[in-house]
Amino acid sequence: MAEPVARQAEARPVTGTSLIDLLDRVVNTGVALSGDAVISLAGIDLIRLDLRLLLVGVDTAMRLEEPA
Amino acid sequence: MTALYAYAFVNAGTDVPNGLVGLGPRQAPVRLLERDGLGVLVSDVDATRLSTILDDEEDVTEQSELAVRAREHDWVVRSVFQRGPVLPFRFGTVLPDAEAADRLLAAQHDTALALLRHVDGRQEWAVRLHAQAQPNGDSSHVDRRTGRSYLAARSRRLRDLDERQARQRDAADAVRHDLAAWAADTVDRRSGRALLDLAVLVDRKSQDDFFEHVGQLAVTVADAGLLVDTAGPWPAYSFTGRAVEVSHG
Repeated sequence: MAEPVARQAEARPVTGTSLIDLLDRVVNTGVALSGDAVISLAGIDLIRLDLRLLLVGVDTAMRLEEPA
Repeated sequence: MTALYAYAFVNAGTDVPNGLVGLGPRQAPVRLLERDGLGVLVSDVDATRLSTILDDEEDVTEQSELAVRAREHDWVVRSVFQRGPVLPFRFGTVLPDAEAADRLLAAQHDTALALLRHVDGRQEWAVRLHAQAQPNGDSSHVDRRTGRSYLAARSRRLRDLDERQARQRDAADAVRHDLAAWAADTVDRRSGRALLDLAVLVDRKSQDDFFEHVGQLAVTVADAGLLVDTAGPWPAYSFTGRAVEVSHG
């Protein structure tokens, strides 16, 4: 049985940015401030915690949308 | 209530593009607040409105307010990133007022300037490894004549899978170490979305070398049944250091 030919990675830059990559970066990375320099509304860090949970949901939704 | 949405640390004196506006719906001008060589990019936002961004959110799509604001945030960061190094803040970072921004600049002066030097002239690329999908033909040769031979074949197949996975883990480790030595910096993002999800900090002038190097790595890991993909470039989101506690009691 012939072995599949190893193929070079598509190492060119990806044009456009997928939403999941974008959210994964702007929500999960970057300088994270806490303390009273940051506004907390209703005692919850403004968005960060909820977005973490949401991101898991986004990932799942995206995976379900991918062709099998 | 109006507050200051904060996008990133930058060096003082960084040229903010004319007409650059920040998060909607206000889309206020992005401006630079400075103190002693360090700056922070901000724009006025309605903080109360921003806090409702997750209400009514079920599935996140490109049209969701979250997606729109995230892209606006990234756009501001990228626009200034063309003019000099940036240390992006996490999405949703809101400062009460200019005085709070000034205290932040004072508190983070040395750390932020050091990190800005570290990422100057560099950008972030994602390098991910995925296991190639396996054809299901392995079971087609199972000898079902006896229970024993069936179990023996199954046992062989499971061992083969274990060995394959072990080879793939070894290959992923090798790539991680290789890029850690090759690049200016790397961070294992552990996103769980791939066997390896690495953020790689690459000098802009070494970009072609980077692609060539990753191409060579891809040929190497193909033997283990792994595929490589890259995405980018990004401002150095993953290289911004640990969480920062800024309290002013």
